Amino acid sequence: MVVKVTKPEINVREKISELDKPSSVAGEAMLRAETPQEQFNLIGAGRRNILINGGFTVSQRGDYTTAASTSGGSYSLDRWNTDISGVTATIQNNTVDLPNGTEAKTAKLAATSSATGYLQLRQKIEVESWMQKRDVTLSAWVKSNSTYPRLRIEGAAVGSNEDGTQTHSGNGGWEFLTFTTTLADGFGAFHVGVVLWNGSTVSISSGDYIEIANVQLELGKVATPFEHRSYGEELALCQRYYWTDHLYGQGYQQANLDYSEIIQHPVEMRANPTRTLIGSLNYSSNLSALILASSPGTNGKNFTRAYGRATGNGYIEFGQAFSLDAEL
Amino acid sequence: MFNINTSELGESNIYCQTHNHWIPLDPANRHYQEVLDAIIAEGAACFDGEIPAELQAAADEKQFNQQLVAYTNAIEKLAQYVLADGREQVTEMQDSHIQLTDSDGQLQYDSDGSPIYEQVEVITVTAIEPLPATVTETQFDSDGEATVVEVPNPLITKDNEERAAAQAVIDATPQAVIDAA
Repeated sequence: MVVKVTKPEINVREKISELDKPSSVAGEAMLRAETPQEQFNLIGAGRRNILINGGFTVSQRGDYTTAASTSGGSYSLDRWNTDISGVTATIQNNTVDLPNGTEAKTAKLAATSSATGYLQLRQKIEVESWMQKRDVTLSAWVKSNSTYPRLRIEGAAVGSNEDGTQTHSGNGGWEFLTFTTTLADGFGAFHVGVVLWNGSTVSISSGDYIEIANVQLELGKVATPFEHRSYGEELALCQRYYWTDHLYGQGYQQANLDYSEIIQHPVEMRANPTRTLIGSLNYSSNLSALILASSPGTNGKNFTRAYGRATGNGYIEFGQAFSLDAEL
Repeated sequence: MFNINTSELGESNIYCQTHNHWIPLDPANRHYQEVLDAIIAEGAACFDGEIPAELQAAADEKQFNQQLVAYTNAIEKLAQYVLADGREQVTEMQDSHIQLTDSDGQLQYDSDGSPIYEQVEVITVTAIEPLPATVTETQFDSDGEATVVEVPNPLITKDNEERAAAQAVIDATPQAVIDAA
């Protein structure tokens, strides 16, 4: 039996012209990727932003819509820590229109005195082992009247600290800065931020500022569009590190015995938190000052006990604001 | 100012009177670390009453580790070459991959039977020229007039300052820390 096989003809000219199809740098990189994981990393698929509150939507510590003074090492907008040397400064939470046509909330750190020093807004990230040796890209919209602002990674970069090479032009407009690097093999601290300096301290004048929006840290070598999360989701992420609420209690108590109330934390906190009573005890009657402590027999990450001693037999009633802080 | 607060149920906290904080005895808590820093810096003056032995021991350990890191970094700094002096080339004789032969063309071995190789001079430390002691800098007076002046090389100045600071750290390091390094 004779079997006749036919093969479709190939138009060589057509095939060659296909090779000339226009594609961008990103498209080329996608085509050249050797594994699905590499393609995944290139486009930043999946949950992307490693930073929490990179959009500055959560502010449990207060309303910073007007500039409030801040100091080095303090927290204001959730998860964001100010790192200041030499000068005094204020922090402010604004709402702006970015050049890409989107509206965004921002954090603005402005010097209120003149000196040699630096200004930085940074986030301290809880280190996890999977972060070691990974390519990461930090991106942010940055506005400034100084030519020094740049992106920065502290602790986790090869050689510990590393500054991005892009700097703001200092023209007072919004500019999109990105910084890609490979994290070190083994690190104990991981801070990322936007800093006004040039590798060492610089001359800062009162009024110099950095304002940042849509800050994102993601795996891979490409900055992808900012990942927006719902307020509820962002708040829950922040509450692992800090949350605040009001206590309220009432009842009848015998003199010299403790009144006690267990507060369940909304999420497990990073560490046993520092517990702080804010302001004075309200509506109290028949009760000494409250004390906050971890719940006995626990690691303190999930429960807090508030207790106070009744000063006489009878009705007690109290209300007081408090905060729990497990920030890095 | 801090004091220890222990409840009737037995849990203990450090109470910070300045900020109305109750700080857990948890090394992962940043305020706990700040208490240790205060004990290191101020000693008993930061505590209302005696510092509990457990806290004092934690503060001592933290200070020891900080001094060890500072001492190690200082030693590394001083081990680097002085920028103003540069660095001389260092060579040493090393075995090549060519085994020696005798006049009869036989491979040579030592008394232990190991091959004897031809020795070659290898550069183990490359030479680096000293930096110039001064550099030129353009300075402007109040009229905007430019003048070129010679100033001490800022890289050398910075290197000298860092070396002096490193030496000061080494001089101040307790013997127990040096022994542990």
